[in-house]
Amino acid sequence: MDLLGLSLPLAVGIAALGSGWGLGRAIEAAMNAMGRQPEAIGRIQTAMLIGCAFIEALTIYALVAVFLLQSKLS
Amino acid sequence: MSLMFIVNHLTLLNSSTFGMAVEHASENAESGGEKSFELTNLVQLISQWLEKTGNEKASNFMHLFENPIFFVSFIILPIAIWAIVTYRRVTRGADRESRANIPKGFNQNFWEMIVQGLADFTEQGLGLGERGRSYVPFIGSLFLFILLNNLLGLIPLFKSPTSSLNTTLGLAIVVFFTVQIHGIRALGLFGWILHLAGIERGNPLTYAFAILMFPLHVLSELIKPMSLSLRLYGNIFGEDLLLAAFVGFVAFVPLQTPFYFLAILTSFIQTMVFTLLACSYLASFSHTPESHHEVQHA
Repeated sequence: MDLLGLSLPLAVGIAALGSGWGLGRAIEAAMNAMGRQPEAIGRIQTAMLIGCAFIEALTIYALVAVFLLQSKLS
Repeated sequence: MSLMFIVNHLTLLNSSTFGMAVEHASENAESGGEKSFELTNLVQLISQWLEKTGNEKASNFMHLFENPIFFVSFIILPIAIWAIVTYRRVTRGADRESRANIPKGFNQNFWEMIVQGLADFTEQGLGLGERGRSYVPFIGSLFLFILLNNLLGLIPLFKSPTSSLNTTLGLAIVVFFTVQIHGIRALGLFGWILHLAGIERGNPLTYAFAILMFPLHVLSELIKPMSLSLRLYGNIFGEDLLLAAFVGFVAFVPLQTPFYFLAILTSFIQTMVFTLLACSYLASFSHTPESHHEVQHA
């Protein structure tokens, strides 16, 4: 019963779930703002990219944990 | 039409190196049973050739430093030399001829385009206007360095230097020290400590919470390099791993072609994100009329 082999991909999956939901909310707000004020699209896009990077980084942390523990898989 | 030709050739080259990739991946496994996909690259090949001809020290050296020294200098040295030579040629001409304000020639126009683009990008990212000019060289070189390093892994037989934590951690530490020293220079030593404690001169409430905010802010400052380096490392290593995993699925069929485009996209996005974050950390330690802790968490 390889618990590590079960939990590592599950960890990345759950992290992807959380970040997908968070990114969806962030981008929805950004799209709304861009629709209301098309002349500010450049600045909104920049802020959206920074926000998305923060949210994405959390999933990347989970991925890095998988890389670190990969050698212990049987 | 010719772009597809080039892309297909690149992917065919990658596919045919898959056989070598599998063999070398099993040789390069760290501890028994680690299955991380990695495409062969020039430095691995040279290091193995050196080992066969009995030159073990050189082979170890090459294997140990393949990323930071060889691949970085491979891509950065020619670009830097090109830029420096163009600069010398341009300024030498400007001394002699009085009508040298019109840029002439491919080199000068190309580099002016790049420098102008980087300067605009930095100005937009920093939001400091004229005072941000002195940071254009730092942010611009950071941008070019990370961009070229990320894209290097897409060429067959090369590997991105930023796909190893060494390079990205080095970059993040450089950014960390630059930001803190900029903070000390812009706010003064005492002002920097007060800023870290969250104290604003006019607001007596912030003095009350200073003792809470100080460890919080210091911790968040220390986490910033970690998150910067891990984000860049994870994205670029993951993209290289993805490419390598798809290379040999069906023999000689370039199945990884769509992922090439994704890899180009994420390379650009990750450099933009790293550079914009560095800009925003720099801006958070400066006096601006509007900023006041807009983007400040790790």
